[in-house]
Amino acid sequence: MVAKRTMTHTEKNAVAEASAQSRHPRQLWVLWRYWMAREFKTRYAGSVLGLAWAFVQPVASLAIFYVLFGKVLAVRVPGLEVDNGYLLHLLAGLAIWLPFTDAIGRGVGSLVAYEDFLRKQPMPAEILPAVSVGGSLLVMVIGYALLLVLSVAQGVGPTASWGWLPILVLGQVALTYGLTLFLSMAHFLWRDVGSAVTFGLQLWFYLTPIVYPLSQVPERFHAWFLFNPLAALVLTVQGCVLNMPVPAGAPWAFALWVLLLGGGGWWFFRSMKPALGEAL
Amino acid sequence: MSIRFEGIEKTYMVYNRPQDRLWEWMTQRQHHRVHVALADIGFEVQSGETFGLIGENGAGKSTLLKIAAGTIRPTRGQVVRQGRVAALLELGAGFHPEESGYDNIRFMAALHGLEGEGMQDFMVRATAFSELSVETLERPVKTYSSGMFMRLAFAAATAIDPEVLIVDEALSVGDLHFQKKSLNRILELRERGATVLFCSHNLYQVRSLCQRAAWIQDGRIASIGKTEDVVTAYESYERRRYVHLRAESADSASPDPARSTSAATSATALVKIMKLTVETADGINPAQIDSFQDMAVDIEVESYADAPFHVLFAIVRPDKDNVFGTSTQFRPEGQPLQGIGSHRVRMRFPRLSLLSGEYLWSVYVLDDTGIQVLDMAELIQPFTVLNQRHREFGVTWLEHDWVTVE
Repeated sequence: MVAKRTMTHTEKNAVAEASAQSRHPRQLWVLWRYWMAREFKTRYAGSVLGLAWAFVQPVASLAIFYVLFGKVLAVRVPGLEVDNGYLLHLLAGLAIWLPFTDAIGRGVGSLVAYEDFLRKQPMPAEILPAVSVGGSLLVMVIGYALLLVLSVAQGVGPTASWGWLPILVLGQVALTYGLTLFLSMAHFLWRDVGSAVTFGLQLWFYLTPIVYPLSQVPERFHAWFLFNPLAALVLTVQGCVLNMPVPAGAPWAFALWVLLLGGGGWWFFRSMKPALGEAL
Repeated sequence: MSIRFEGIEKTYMVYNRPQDRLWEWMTQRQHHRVHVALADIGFEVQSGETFGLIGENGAGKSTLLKIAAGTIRPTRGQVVRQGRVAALLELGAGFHPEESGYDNIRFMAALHGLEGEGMQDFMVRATAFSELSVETLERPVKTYSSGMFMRLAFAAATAIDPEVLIVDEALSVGDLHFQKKSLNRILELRERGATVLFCSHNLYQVRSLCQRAAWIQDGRIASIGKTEDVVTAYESYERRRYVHLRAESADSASPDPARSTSAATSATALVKIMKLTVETADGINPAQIDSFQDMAVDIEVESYADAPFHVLFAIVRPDKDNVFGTSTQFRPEGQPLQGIGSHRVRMRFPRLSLLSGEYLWSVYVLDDTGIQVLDMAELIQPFTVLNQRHREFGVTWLEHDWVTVE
């Protein structure tokens, strides 16, 4: 009798804790999906082109850089001996850069934008940066699809090394999510972060071999590029898809960055999370 | 189906400057002040109980509700919740203006982690309760009137069929019909055994809804127990505080005539409506009144200051249309009431010429100019009038003669 009573008591406690503490992963998945649906439905609400903007924007940036650097400045890519080598090089860079900057740009302000909501509705805050990253996946898919289709059209690949792509993409998502977690929380605590990020992203773009090939940079600086997580990724993808020569250690540097930024961002977010609901 | 607070304490770290948090994080040395919002809170809202939280602004009621809902975590202690919880902390938080009503309901369902059949049920309940047409629900929420928005928000907030309901003064929104409907929804959930934790400044509402209550004062429980005891204790505290304030202002004002007037205006806010009773030959507060019966209304107010005031009251219909209203100011001389203590206003309607229908009272206490409202009790004491002897219809009987019928 006594034993039975204590058992039901602990059972009840377990139920209560489950509902109060972390939610079921399935529930998070449902919420994330609906939030993504809302994100895509409302992002282009009231515009004529609607979802077509998701195609227009990356293609327009591609066209601008191609005309400016590929035609006017006539940048050539040594080691990529096809007609439109520069276009492929640029595309490989933008397929990575555009979703990255899109996720960061939207994600930085995500916690601040929903500050009031977080205070009024119990829900996991991690979902907000996750939605920003999810929103960038469309651009990513478009970018990679263009890259692969054009590569085949130009006679580069498909090769066996393309098999690494899914892992690289997963790594990019993890890295982006970690950095978005970090920056959104940091921006929530210190609003300077938002302004710094806008400027920082511009600088970062030119520090990454996207519009210029690495071979245009003096050899002695090459190792420094591995300290740039995105450069490590871009170089790895260029090697993997376009068979361009890759500085030794780029894949390893990228793997390290994924662990560092993904894990670090998560850790920082969790340790600062109690500050979220609190504003006096 | 219950909420149990176990030794809840909530402290906030207050940083004077944003960079202080940065220094603290980097140097691991304390750069903040500690503000204690709640301390030593421990009680249980039992299954099926309606529990009220009262207290002054900033006493910690809302913080406690947020902890109960789970939007913030207590610094110490824990909350044990059992059952499906719905929190009505602010209606419509999380609604997207560009999305349709349907999509917003779906989103709220997803917030609860519902999908498939569970989401379908949620949609059905929410749309039925909102009373909005299909055409409306397909429009973006930004095109809604505020009343429609509130209806949808309340419907979506309570559609999970909650077993535990946490309500933060969300009742006083929307039009009267909807207020009544949302209150009925809460009562209906309560009938079915839902537990309700509820915070309000409206002591009348707390008295009529809650079985037990807690008075939170400076982040601690000042009193907890039967609603009547707790509310009475709180009221007498408020009264003492007003008297204290008045004494203080009178003392400081006496040498300075300019300041004594300002003391008088601050002292004007000290009248309270205590009671309204209706009497007929059938007794006090009868369930129904016949047209043309002799009726008297008795209003009791208590003044804690020596400032003059007027009492205005009206018979109103449920849709807030005034049927008849009058004020002590409208009397032939129109002298205001004055003096510390109880005041009574009694009016007799020798032939109450209301016809069949539902009616309510609204009472206001106004300052001597008749403009500033000192206290009010709107739409209280509903009563039913039955017109059994005549076939005429409408709101009221008008004197009339049949001059010609050819």
